[in-house]
Amino acid sequence: MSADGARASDVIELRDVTRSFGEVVAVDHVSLGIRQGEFFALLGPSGCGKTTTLRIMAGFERPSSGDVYLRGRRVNDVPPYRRETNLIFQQLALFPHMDVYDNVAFGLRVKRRPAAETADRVRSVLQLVDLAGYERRRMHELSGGQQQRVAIARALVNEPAVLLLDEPLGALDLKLRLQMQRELKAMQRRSGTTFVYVTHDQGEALAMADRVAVMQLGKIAQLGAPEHIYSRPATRFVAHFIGDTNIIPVTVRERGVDGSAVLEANGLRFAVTDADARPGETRHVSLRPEKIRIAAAHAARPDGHAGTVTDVTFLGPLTRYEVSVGEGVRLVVQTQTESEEHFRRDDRVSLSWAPNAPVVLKD
Amino acid sequence: MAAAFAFVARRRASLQLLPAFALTAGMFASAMLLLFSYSAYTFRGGQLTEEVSFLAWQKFFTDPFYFGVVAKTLQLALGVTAAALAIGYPTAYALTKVRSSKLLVAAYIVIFSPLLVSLVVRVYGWLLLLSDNGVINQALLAIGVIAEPIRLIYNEAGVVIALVHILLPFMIFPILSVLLQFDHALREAANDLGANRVQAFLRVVFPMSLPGVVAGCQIVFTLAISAFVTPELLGGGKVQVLSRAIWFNVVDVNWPLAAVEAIVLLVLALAALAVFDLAARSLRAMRPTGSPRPRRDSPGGFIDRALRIVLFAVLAFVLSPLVFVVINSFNGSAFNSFPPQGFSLQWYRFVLGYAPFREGMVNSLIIASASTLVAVAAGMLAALALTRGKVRGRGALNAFFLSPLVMPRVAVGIAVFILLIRLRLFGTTGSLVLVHAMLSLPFALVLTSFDETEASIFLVRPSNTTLPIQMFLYLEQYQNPTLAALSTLLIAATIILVVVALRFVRGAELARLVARR
Repeated sequence: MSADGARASDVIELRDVTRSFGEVVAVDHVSLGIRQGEFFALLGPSGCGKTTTLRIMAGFERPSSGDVYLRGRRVNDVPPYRRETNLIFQQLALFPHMDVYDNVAFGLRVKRRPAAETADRVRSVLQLVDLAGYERRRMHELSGGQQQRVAIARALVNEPAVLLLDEPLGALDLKLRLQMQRELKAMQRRSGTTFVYVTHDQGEALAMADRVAVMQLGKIAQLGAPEHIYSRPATRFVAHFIGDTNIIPVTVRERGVDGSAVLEANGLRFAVTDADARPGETRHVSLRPEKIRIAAAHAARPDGHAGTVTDVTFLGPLTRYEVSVGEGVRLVVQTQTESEEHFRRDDRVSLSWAPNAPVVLKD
Repeated sequence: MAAAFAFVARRRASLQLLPAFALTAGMFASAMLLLFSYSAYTFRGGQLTEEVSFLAWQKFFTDPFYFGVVAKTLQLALGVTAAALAIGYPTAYALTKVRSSKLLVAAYIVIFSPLLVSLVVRVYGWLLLLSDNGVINQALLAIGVIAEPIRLIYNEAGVVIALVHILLPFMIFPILSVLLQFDHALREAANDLGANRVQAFLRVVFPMSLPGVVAGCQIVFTLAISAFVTPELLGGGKVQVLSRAIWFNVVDVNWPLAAVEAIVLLVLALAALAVFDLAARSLRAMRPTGSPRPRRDSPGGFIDRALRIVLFAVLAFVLSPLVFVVINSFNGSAFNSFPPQGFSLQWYRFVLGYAPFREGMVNSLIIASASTLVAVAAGMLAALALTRGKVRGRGALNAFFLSPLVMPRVAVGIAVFILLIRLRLFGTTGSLVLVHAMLSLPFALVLTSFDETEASIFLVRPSNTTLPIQMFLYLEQYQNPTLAALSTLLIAATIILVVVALRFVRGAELARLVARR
């Protein structure tokens, strides 16, 4: 803890931050700390408050209540131009009346750095983003990916404590987006800069981030490593938002002292290893399609649930089944096309899953 | 009609350019060429002869008096342009900060109101304000700041003030148009990179608004260089510019010298256009990446308060001559005295009974409506071709269409007068419509080029045609509030026209224009 209470390990920290616009609460009592050097993603659908959260960090929005700390210093009243943060705008906002060099040198010039130092730093950052030799190009002479890299260089040259990125890849086509994801991640590692990355694309967040905060209606629904959020979603919203899943309404029937429980849903009874719930309570369970094993009825395992295939979709490397089990519970099952047995519509099958596969959600 | 219009609109650029080209070439270029041919005739002993000589050219380029006239013309135009920019830029910038749409619409109307009112009315307004017994001097005397009236009129200062007043909309409009397109994210990007408000303005906003500045200076300079009525009526004979030299030579029937002066003026104006065009071209590389997201940022802080004060000061400056014209129209005294000596409607009675004004008014209405239709249709088509189509010699064509702006109306008037007499069309309403359409075309072109077709409504000026000639003649002879009464009637008529037009023709689009911001 530093003198005024911020955690020293956090580069930027939001403490109970709320931001409302009239009646609308865009950010609702958000607290989070971002660690030095990590790639942090703010993930959520449009209107969830992720961009407002980012703009609060950048200084473009003031919190209605709560505090923002940057390197342990409270910065609520510090305007953007005096913060050690830099923002990559969604539309990039490159200066069209300047060439690449002048765009990148902008921050150092307004801070009146010596010309020689400016030239050195611009040169090395252009090397970092692989744009050496493009100094005199105008913005409209660059491709989308090159403009992207200019925007990153223009921010990184200032050596910000945190680099804030507001859906910077949104305007690119899929192929370029995937390439830029890899490049961004590589640049982040090479520069050692802390990145806070706003996106509505869960694939992007999972691929790049060290930690992800999923936001919903101005609140943080869940915060953690991508693998953790994927395998142990906390709420129906998170489970749905991150990847495909089956959400099953269940009633808790029995609960063991070790935290295990037996759940029931429409004639479907199964055990889970970990459930923070009391018997008699109704909850929802998330069960990922790829966690479900499918077998022919005659080869059923003892813990298998009998069902009927109602739909088959061939997805190339994967095959997606819809199976009706119990008393009308429809489950989506996903298998590896190559390595597993194939079924057709109306086939009698048996479904099974490990007891740690279903996740009992908070709601 | 509509189908034909659509047909032409779909054709190639050359077809779209045809009406504007025919109008400018047929009514303007041919008339000017005719006038220019007189530069080779001879004026000797007060007589115009058809003997070919270059005596007029010789006189113009050897007599130092004319060098002084050219220098004065350029100096006045430069001064007016600089002053209009100094006032116009902060005004345009302040307008982008206005959040209340009511205030915004009111400010637009006030700023454009001088365009709706005849030049003679505006000059008359300045006479009321600036003369020795005018409003400003009377006010200063009354509060004891000065012991005797100070000279605000019949000198260069008065001319500059009145010209800036008249030309200000042409400066504000293009700058505002560019500033409204400004992507707010660029300002935030500058702030984010460490630039405070002033730095962001100087390094990003201002450089990016330069195309508007260049466009505004181009229009104002070329209009100022050829101004005639203002230097004539407010200059007290001391502001000797080319347009006045032309006028005097025309009156003296020294048409060869008038022709030489007209040619020199045209060359000067075209040179200025070329210089500004060159400047504009070097700025063309500044195209924004991505789609701009204009946004007005919230007012607050010292700078915004200062801008707000500038805006209101400019609005007052623009309105004041018109306001005092209206007040004076009810003056009980016959001597334009201020404060007014009692309330009277006698000048209105006189105006309505004075036959030359009455006939002028009817004629003006007919000619203004018809010529506006012709000019806006031709101008929109030409603007479409010039901005969207692939046209070779775009710059030259633009200069050609704008050239009627450059020529002083005095020179155009005398040239067209000669042309129409030669064609035996003089005195027909149709020919007057074409002349006025030709004169309005550049304005229609400029307005539609800026994608502000709504604003072309401002071209409908009943006061712009034959009536002002009667007023000009009257003003040279009499000094009583008759003109104030007539001007007030014209202002009222114009307001009604604009309100009706806005409501029924362009109301939806103007609302969209405001909403878009």
